[in-house]
Amino acid sequence: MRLRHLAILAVLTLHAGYAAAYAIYSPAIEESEKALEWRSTFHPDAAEEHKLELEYSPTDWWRAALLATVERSPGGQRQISELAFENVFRLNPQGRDWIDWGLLTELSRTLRPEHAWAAEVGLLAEHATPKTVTQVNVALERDLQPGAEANMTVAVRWRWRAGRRLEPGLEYYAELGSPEHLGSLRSQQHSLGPALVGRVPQGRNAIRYEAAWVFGLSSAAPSSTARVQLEWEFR
Amino acid sequence: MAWPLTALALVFSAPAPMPVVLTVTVHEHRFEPSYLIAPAHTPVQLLVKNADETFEEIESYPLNLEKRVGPGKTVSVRLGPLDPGHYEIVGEDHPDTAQAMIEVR
Repeated sequence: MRLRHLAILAVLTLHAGYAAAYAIYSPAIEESEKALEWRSTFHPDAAEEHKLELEYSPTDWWRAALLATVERSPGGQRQISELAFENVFRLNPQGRDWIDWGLLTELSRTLRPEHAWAAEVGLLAEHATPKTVTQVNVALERDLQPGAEANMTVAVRWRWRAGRRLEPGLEYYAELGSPEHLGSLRSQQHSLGPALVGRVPQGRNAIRYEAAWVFGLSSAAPSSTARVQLEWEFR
Repeated sequence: MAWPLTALALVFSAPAPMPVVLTVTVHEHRFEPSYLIAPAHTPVQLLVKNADETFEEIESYPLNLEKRVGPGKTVSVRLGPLDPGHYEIVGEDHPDTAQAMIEVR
């Protein structure tokens, strides 16, 4: 039954998406947990992207979320640009194998007439030791238009579990372009920089935060990008 | 081209060594038993049964453990291998009563 539900949801989500390029997903899922998340990305040319997300985990292997994206282009005004339905599926029991695996799917509708629907599928991997956590996300996103090409993205975070409220780390993001004809490293976007992650309990609820400042490693990447993410977990 | 991917898949999906199994039950918002002993440098499989009619979130930062357990359900979590020491576990929904300790020696 679980596989059938997963297959139906994956197919539904493949019908369209684009997830934030600057975000790290974990395959860990807490059953019945609800969360309200806000994440923002700021570029040096004053472009901004903000995502507001409402999450719910109906089971311990499935997390669903509704997202709204607000963007501002350089010199422009903020406007709502996209609505999305996102799912994360845990693929193996937490800690059973050397890597915890997950699947990300997203179906999104861009509120601009030239890009109606898009879809994203990603593989999520996480390896934890008592002192470190390493997460790798590899995703393919594609506009659902004739002739549109897929775009491959990679996001990696390594963090040191120094303390619940403050975990320093490193984040790496890459936009590789179409997997059918990957360009040179110079034409791809590669960014790397420091990050801070933490969780602050608030009684039965908790606030999670993430912040990173990554710097372009290739000429096609923005010279720097700052990102901030706040998540309120509640029951 | 296929063999590196096959090798990677084998490495990354390889199961860990057989673990020692510890079982704890959440009953009336308390862990039973509340003190467990595990061998050092050995993987541990922690089975948490929730005998209550409410959710409980099992949390331990030193064990990198955070898991919600539904009413009447059992969850299994792999821990370690762990260094010798004392590792506290708290039920976040009832932190005043739901407290346990794993001694690793």
